[in-house]
Amino acid sequence: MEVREESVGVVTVMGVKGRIDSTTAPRLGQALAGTLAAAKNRLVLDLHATEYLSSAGLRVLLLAAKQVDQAQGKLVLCGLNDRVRDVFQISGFDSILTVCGHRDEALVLAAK
Amino acid sequence: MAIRHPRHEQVEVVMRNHLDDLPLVAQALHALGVRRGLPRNAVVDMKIALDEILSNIVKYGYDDNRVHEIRIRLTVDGSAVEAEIEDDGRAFDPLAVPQPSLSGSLEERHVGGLGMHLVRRLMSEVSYQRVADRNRLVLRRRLDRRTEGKTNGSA
Repeated sequence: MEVREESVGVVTVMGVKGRIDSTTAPRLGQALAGTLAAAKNRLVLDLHATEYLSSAGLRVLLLAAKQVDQAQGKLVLCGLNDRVRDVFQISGFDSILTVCGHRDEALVLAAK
Repeated sequence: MAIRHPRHEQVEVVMRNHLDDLPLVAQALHALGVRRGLPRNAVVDMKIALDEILSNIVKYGYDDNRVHEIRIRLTVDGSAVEAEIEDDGRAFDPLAVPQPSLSGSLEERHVGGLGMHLVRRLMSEVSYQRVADRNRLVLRRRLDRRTEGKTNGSA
């Protein structure tokens, strides 16, 4: 699992490649924590290269979403494949996280 | 002359109770899926379910500091991929974990119980037995199932 970060205007885009599960979620959590600690709280999480995630991944995303909310920032996810969407829907995360189809949409939402 | 392609294949993986060993199981399942041409959705759903179950065993199954073995038997038959997980940790029935809250505001949400909820929803059947101080859990995922927010039958 690899995390790549880049800045696009006021937005920080983090791309996650690979799977987000018990073995890899801690590193994603660390990356998110580091980014948020640097007061970069307008985030797009680009998951187009994310194969799937388990509840370990959900935990990390939920924590980030709560921290972003408290910092009055924005967290927008994009590029979810059908397995990731299924897990979001089953866990009810589709109603608490902002999800877009495409990165461009996500960038606009995160910058608002 | 006959060329037989048996529709049945079984792979056994033995791992230690350590998170570092989890990828071995995912790899074995992945290789099995490639060899048998299994539908991607079925393989991924089983990978997720195994991650949930095995990480629980590693994290919560033991209160000593010893190495324990967890045995995972992966089977493909004509209609399903199945994982039988056997461990000697404390008794734990995933089916008995209550369903977590799936609604409510961001502040109200937590992930406790979500893993087992995912297992029950992604698998076609889940069955648990406690036999002679061992947990035996069978996860079965039909190959032809379409997941469109279906509720599964349970074991």
